[in-house]
Amino acid sequence: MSSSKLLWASSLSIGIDRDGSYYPAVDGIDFYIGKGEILGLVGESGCGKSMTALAITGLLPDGVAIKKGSVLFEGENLIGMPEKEMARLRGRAISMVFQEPMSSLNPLMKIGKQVSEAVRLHDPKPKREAERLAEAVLGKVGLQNPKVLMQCYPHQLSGGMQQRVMIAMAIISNPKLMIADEPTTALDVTMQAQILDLLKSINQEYGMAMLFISHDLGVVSRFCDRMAVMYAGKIVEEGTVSNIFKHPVHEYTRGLLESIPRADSRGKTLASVKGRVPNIFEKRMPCAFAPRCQKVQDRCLKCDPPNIALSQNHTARCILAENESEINYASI
Amino acid sequence: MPAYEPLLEARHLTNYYEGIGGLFGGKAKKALSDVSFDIGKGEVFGVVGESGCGKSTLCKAILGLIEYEGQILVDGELLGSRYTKAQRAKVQMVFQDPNGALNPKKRIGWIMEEPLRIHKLYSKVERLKRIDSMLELIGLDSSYKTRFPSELSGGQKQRVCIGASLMLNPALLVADEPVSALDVSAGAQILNLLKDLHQRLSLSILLISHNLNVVYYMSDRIAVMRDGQIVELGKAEDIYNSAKHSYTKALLAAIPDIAQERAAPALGAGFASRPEAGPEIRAEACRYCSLCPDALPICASESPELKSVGLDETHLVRCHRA
Repeated sequence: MSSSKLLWASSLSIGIDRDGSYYPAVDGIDFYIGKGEILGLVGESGCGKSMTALAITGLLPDGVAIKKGSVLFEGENLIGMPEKEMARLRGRAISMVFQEPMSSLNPLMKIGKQVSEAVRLHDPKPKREAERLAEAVLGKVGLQNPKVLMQCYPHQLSGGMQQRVMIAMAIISNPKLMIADEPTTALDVTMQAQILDLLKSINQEYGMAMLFISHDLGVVSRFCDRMAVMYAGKIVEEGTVSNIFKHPVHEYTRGLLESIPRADSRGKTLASVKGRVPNIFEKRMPCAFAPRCQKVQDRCLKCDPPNIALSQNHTARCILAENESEINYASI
Repeated sequence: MPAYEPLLEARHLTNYYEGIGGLFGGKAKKALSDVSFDIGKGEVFGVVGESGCGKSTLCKAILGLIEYEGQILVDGELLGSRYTKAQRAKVQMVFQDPNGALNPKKRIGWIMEEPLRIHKLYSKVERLKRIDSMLELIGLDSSYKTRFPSELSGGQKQRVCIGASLMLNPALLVADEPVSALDVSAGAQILNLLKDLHQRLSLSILLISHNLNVVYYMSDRIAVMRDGQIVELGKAEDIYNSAKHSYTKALLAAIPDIAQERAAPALGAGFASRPEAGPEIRAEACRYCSLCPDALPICASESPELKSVGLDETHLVRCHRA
């Protein structure tokens, strides 16, 4: 099994040390991404999704540090890796696509130069050759007229086109893993649909694995193979997308699913998760979700919720999951 | 159901933007072309479309923030090129990003009092009383008056924006993407709040969104816009369940719905080549004809009119096939 895991994070903790106290942003999470697999990481803002992604790429902001844990990428531990080696992996083996394409592109540099730079950084090729490759990849991500486009500045492109350029830069070195942090949140539905189609085709064609961060469960359900739901720095439910959507166990997952307006929710009040995510400086209950949980019990306030395996491909961190008998997913 | 009485009537709204030298050449762009619709009293009217379809221009026109050709009537009164204060009070606005809409250096009480101050309404004591009751109405309490926006979560800030826009008792609330900047759970709470206010205050709402699910959840009627035109308009059920225009069908298909099976067709179908790089379309052609899977020969030569389908004349479609 372990040989098919591309990335394997275990008891990863990330936090801030301030005034002698430690505040955890990510609190001992375990997950893996198989080769060619798309793992969705979902949760509200402030749950630690982006911190996890930044920790993997070694791009954590100042003041935020990895407290403990390891992230194995093809057997190599990324945590504590010297910056020079990390820089070698970043962009070549692991690439990233961010939410705001406009702020990730250099506004003063032509598209052609930016994309070919991404190649030459890792692979000292002649400029001509890098440009030829850039043109080919820009065509591949569905941009028409890549030759003209190479001479354009980012502001001349629409949001969707900019995101395609970002994706072109991310796949140009043929990485094994792409980390996409809310890649479609800044785009509207139709453009989102096209970008997701593109990412899926890249995933299938090159067998590139993805860590897909999103707060849109609709997107995750259509796009990912497995998913992990994060709340206040912990993974509260994890499993295959079909298992979780058929039978969500954690109250937080259920709440998220019920807050989406759907075809059949017209005329009803949307069930929403009351309250908000605790910020990282607040003291948390043993189960951080307890203050917002509708089924909270005395035990939730006293002891840490155990991580319970509901089936081979489905775990939930909730004491109520103990009562779930063997789930027959096929019958639901 | 009470008799239908129009609150807002928009007639033949047209607006041009100056041509900007873009990637594919610049010329005057019609942001709105001959948009006509009305919103009934106590009705929630939804407008959907992709970015660049003219949704936000429409909303600016209604608020009198830009110049336009055509007429807008509120309560039967024609709005001139400059709105009077009383006219402005009737139509209020909630923006997409609550973080940008609230002055970070002012307390919530000050922000909510501002509309009353500008319109010189009530005494100081009376104003404070009204702020308290408004805070209660939007699901906060009077202790929020002394807080700064930075102390509030995104959802709470959006509540404050809604509350401030309701201080003047507007007849119409224009909400431009009110939940797209929020998390799903906060977004659900805001939608519930808007629905609640709509019922309690019999408020009319013009809801603009690119998310057809959100619009369907909230609205009585829906207009689908594309390229500055209304391509389909009708009761929410008709639009959602029996869409006639192929653009509306494509929009519906683009929503990644958790209820759908994963084997559903690719999300992007129907948008495969967006106009950003599309061929030059003849001015008199249907603006969707190059992307339309059901295009007829006539579509390339004649622009379709908005015409009614069905018996009760509430469902309008701009398509030769309808």
